[in-house]
Parts: sequence; C-alpha cells; structure tokens
Amino acid sequence: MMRKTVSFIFVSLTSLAAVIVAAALFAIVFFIFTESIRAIKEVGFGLFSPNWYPVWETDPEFGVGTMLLNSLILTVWTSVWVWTIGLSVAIYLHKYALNKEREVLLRILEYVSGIPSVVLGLFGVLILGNWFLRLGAWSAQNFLNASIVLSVLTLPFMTSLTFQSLEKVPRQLVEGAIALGAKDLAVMWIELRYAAPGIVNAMLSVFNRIFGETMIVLMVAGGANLLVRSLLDPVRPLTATLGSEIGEVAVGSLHYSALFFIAFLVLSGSLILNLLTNRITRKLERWIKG
Amino acid sequence: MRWTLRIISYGVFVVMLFVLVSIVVSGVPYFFRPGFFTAWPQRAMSEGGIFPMLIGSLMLMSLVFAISVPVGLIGTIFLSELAPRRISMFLKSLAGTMNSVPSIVYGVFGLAFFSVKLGFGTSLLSASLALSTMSIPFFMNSAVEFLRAVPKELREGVISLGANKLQATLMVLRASKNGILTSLMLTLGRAFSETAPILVTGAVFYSTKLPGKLTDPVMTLPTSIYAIVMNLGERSQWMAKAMASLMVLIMIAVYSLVQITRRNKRE
Repeated sequence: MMRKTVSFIFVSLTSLAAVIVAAALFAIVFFIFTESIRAIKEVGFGLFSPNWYPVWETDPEFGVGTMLLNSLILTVWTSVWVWTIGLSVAIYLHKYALNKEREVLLRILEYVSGIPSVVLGLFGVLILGNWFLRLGAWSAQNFLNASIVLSVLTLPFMTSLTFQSLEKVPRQLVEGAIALGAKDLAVMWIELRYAAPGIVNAMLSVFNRIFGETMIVLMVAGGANLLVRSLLDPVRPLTATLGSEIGEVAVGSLHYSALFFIAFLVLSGSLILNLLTNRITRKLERWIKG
Repeated sequence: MRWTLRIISYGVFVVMLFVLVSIVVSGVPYFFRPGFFTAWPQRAMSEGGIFPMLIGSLMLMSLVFAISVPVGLIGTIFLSELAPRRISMFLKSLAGTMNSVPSIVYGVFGLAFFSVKLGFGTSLLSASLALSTMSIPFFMNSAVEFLRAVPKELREGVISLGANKLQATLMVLRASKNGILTSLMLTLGRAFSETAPILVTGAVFYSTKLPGKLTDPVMTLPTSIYAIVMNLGERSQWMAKAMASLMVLIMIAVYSLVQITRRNKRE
C-alpha cells in the first residue's frame, strides 16, 4: 500500500511538471496574441503600411511594412553567406583537414558560439564600427556591419551541425562509390545527399536564429526605418524596434498593443519555420531511405 | 577544390580568432584597476567597479537554477522514463519548438504575464521567471538524450529485483549523472549570456542598492554592457569592454568544464 502511494505521487508529480512545460508554449502564443488584438482591431491593414510613427500626437502610424521587409532582406542576405561558408568549412573539416587542424578549428568555433550576443554587439559597435567610419561609410552602424556580426554569431552553429551530419555518413557508402570508380566530386555529392536532412535542418535553424536575433540588430543595424538600398544603409529590423521600444511604452496603450503585434509576427515566423523544418527533414529522411 | 576550401576555412579561423582575442584582450587590463570587482560604478559608469552587476547576475543565475532545475529535471524524467511513447514524442517536439523561439519573445511574454498580469513589475522575480521559461525546455531537450542513453537492461534489471518506479528512476539518474551535469552547465551558460529577456522584464540601467527582495529591479552584466554602449560616451566604454571580456572568459570556462566532464564520462 505504502509503496503504491509513493509511486502514485511520484508519477503525478512528474506529469505535472511536463504539463507545465507544455502549457508554457500555448500560454506564450495566447498572451502575445491577446495583447495584440487591440492593434489588429483598431489599425487593421494599416499595420502593414510602411510608416511607423508610434508617438505622434495627432495621427500616430503603426505600419510594420518597412521593418518586415528589412528583416527579411537582412536575414536572407546573411543566411546565404553563412550557408555557403559554413558548408565549405564543414566539407573541408570532414574530407581534407588534418586531425590537428580539425581539433583546433572546432574548438575555436565552440568558444565563439559561447560569446553572448550582446558582446558581439559591442564588438560590432566599438571595433567594426570604427573601421567602417575610417573606410568612409557615413554611418558606423549599418546593414553590412549587422550582417557581418550576425554571421559570426551563426557560423559556428552552421558549421558544427553540418560537420556532424557529414560525419554520420556510413563509411561503406563512400568506399563503395570509390570502388565503382567515382571521382572526388561525385563522392562528395553522394555524401552531401546522404547528410541532406541534417544540413537542411542546420540551414533553416540558422535562418530562424538570424530572423529572431534581437541584441545584435538593436545595437549594430543603425535604427533607421527606411528600406535598405545599399549595403551601408542603416536599417531597423522588426526585433530591433521591439527590443528598443517595449521597455518604455505605456502598458495597455495602442503602441503597446502594436509592439505585441510585432512580437506575434516574430513568434509565428519562428513557429512556421520550425514546422517547415520538421516536415522537410522528415521527407528527406524518407527519400534517402528509399 | 581542396585549396579553395582550405583558404575559406583558414579565413574563417582567422576571423573567429580575431573576434575572440580582440574582445578578451581589450578588457582584461581593466580587471586590475583597484576595486574593479568590489566597488560601485561612479560618474556615469566612467569610474569605479562592476560590483552590483556581478552580484545581480549571480542572484539571477541562482534563481534560474532554483526554478529550472527541479522543474526541468522532473519534466525530463517524465519524458524519458514514464510517459507513453506518443506523449513523450509530442512533448519532445514541443520542447524543440520552444528552443527555436527567439529570446525576445520570452521577454515580451514575461512582460505581459509575470510583470503586468501577475503584478511582479520590473523585478528580479519577473526576469528569473522569464529566463526559466526559456531555459527549462533547453535543459529538457539536452538532458533527455543522456537519460535515454542509459541501457535498457539496467532498468529492467533493477525492476526485476523488485524496485518501484521511483527507485528505478534514481538508478537511471545516477547512471547519467555526468550528462545531466553537462546539460545543466550549458543551460546556465545560455541563461547567463541571454540579454533580451532580462532587458524587458527585470533590469534597470542604474540602481543605488542591491536588490533586497524578489520584487526589486536588478543590474546585470549583459544589460549594463548594452546600456553603456548605446547611451554613454567614450569615457565609460572601458567598463563595457571589461564586462564583455569577463563574460567571454566565463563562457570559455563553462565550455571547458563541459569538455572535461564529457572526457571523464568516456573513461
């Protein structure tokens, strides 16, 4: 009897903890959505207009259009660089690197992945920013600067994930291909195809992380709400507005609600991307297994 | 082909090394200023030390530890030992999803729920709860792998000897001790370096006293770095550089500890 009670209490306690965790995600979505309802009702499609003047007294405007576009442009541009470079480094580490080289490079990447994003922001402002000014850019904080710092943030992640999935390719597959007379490039293609689920997973996670990163764009991107036209323009992505204004806004105002709408956009972007990642990875896995 | 890839890799190596070294080196000399670790900042952060930020970060970390370890550990046990397969898979994918949600979202949620709805205000408590909401799924995601790695025979053996669920679970926990320790260090490291959630829920730029109770606001290392870089002039920048360098050194120490723990496990 005693033992049964102990067991029962134990099981119910643990399931309670799991329920709390599961409830948290739904609570997050629910709260962020309910707080943004007011803005959706009162501003409607105006939320997607290009102008964001939240504190004008006569006629404030709450359009996230420009910020959303800037966010997407910055994310796509940076992701493409990170994907290409990360993939190249991972292939080098997997195929050609000496043991010593591999160890040192992986160690450095691990340490860099531990640098807090606010510290990378400081690096972008104080060190890279100075270089940009000296080279003649008119603003120290700009699109290119933010993109470089974001690459430093995500490159370790991309490289190590890709490297790990390349290492999981079975030896026999490669040896079989070589025995059949496949050249270097063909062998690499086989390995890449086998590792595709892991690589695609890494690519989409990188995209997600850049889209949601706040501190770096807040500090380094420059903060001008204009559509980016050149690499040296200062920009303001969605998360930068959110991070800089949410601390100072009056709770319950229309501005507050509009900021929650931005948070809702960021959150749903990340959730959709996550669903997509799972879908694609599963499909690729099935395709490889035949 | 080989040489193109090699040049790219060496380029990445040089850039990464430069970032790491320039951050660490630019801050270390200031550690030796008198009172750097023990004094309060003075004259708009241009003189003095980082004592309140250091203590603030420590307090925050201990609260996150106290909240997320029990909940996270118990949740992990449920996930790997007790839940039916379907529920376990569902919860695991939920935890994975929460892991990919940007940290600012946790901050905004913490503001709406803990600070405003529950009335905790801008405080140590709101900040640690917001950080814990983020860290718990992270911990579960990482720890569950280590619990699953414990061989099935061990569990079956213990149960066939007449142990109940609780005793069997304690056995599994003991077997995966190192793994759990690793997850714990990584989780705390991540919570330590995260800025956006605290910035929104609990941090103030300057306060004249240490938080005496849970509902007081707090100064922390990352939020002070942000505030100095964005708002103050060149005369205060040394303090931001020094704090940045300290944070990076702490993170390197965490990762090295994780490495050592992993190596011990292998032996």
